[in-house]
Amino acid sequence: MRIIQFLPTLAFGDAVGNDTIALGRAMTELGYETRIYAEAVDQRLPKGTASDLCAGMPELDANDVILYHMSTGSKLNYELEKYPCRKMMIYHNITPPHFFHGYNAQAESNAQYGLDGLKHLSDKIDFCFADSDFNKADLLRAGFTCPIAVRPILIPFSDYEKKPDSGIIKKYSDDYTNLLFVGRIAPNKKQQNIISAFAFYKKHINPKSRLIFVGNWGGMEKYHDRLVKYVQALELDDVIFTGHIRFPEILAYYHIADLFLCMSEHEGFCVPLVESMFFQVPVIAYKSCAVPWTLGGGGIVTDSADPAEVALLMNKVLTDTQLRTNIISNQNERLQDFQYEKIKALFAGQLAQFLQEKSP
Amino acid sequence: MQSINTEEIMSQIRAEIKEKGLDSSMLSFEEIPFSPEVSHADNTFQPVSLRQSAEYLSIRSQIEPYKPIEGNFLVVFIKKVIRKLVKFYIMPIMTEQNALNLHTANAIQQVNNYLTDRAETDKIDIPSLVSRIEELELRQASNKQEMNALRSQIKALQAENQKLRGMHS
Repeated sequence: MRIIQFLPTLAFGDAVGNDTIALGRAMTELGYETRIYAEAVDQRLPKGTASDLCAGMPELDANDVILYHMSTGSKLNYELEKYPCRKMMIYHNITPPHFFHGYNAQAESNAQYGLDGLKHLSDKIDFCFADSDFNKADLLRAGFTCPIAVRPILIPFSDYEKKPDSGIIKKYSDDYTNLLFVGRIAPNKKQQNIISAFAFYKKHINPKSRLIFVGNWGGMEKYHDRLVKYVQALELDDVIFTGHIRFPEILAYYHIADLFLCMSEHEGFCVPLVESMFFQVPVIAYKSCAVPWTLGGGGIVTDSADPAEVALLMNKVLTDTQLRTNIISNQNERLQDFQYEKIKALFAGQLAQFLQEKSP
Repeated sequence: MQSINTEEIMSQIRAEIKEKGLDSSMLSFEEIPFSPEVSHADNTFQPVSLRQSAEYLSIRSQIEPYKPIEGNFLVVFIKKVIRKLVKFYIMPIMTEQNALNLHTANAIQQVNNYLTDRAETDKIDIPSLVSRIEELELRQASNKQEMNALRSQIKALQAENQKLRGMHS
């Protein structure tokens, strides 16, 4: 029996790519014969990480298992059914198309294509994993009737213990308050609401503060342009868009962050929330999608996007030592739920149960 | 888990905002205009398109000559023999092609870098002036919003002042 993970693109450094590679490693450790196949493999990944799907899949039989990573529109969503083997799917979520309207027509139509593909797959999968409760609800709405298990993304925390970029730490370790958001620049992440809250905070509460957006804007240039214009129009200094940066640089930004602010309106899991927990950075997040589930009582979840209210909440977390201590303590507790060994054991149990129940 | 009453914190914050007459009205993101649509169809130069192609090239420039061979034992065996026989001819071509791809990808990346650098140095041009005017107009709109916010804060302070005077007299 082989377990074949397959997906349209195996990207370097994104949540789906990291999860796929981590699962591959975990399955090998568990003694399964496994391999990753992708249509496009990022050349920055070590050679041999995955095989090129364009060169063909190996011949599969009823004994084999496909573990499909679903997160986008792809023709693979319509090709999965042709393989004569057991089929499992990990649903990482698809951003609703309306968020991309006006910014990227291709991304908008691809998201719709993905949602159509999700519906198409609803009666063709034997078992689903969902990264969060929110993703599970999405699958049920799409008409999936197979068993669905919630399994958080497998995060190899050992990567975060690598050396952070000393240049960035030196540059931003001053008497400024560093507010951070990590995630690609995308309309569903509502970076504009972070900017407006920061504008209020900087003008009325703490002029010695800076806002750092760590994330790539590839494909979302128009949204990025609008955000930059918004910053200029509000006459805001100290707003930094890093663009795509190296991993040690990302680590450095977490090291210098005083607070992580997330106003996102659509997330299937949101790995940066867990990363913030790891780096002991208190989190304030807007109450939507999978965010409250991922935080699970850690951090502060607010249903307000009002700039003044969010700014004062930020100030409260930054200045109230007891509150800050309590938040970090809660985050540390929640972080335990995402420990590599714990998620690996959860996955191993769910996988073994499926293999037993759905034997060929 | 430590108990954190977010509801209570938020109601304290709302009371503070009311008490201090803080006004969060500011320029809305909706007032920021969209950039013109990036089109790939016309013959004009599109920096975004160049950048995307450069990124694609950098990821997929190297072609892997060994593809998995499928079929039954005999088919696989025959195909492997054929592969072995043509290897002496294909491999040097592949190596040359990959070297060419690598240099092409690098050249495109260099052009992209050059244009990015040039865009930085060529600051005075019509599009940048247009965008500067746009920016100033937005700032003006933002300042108006702030003035209105300050006015309402002054009103709130005046009302508070009058209330205090009334209490003293």
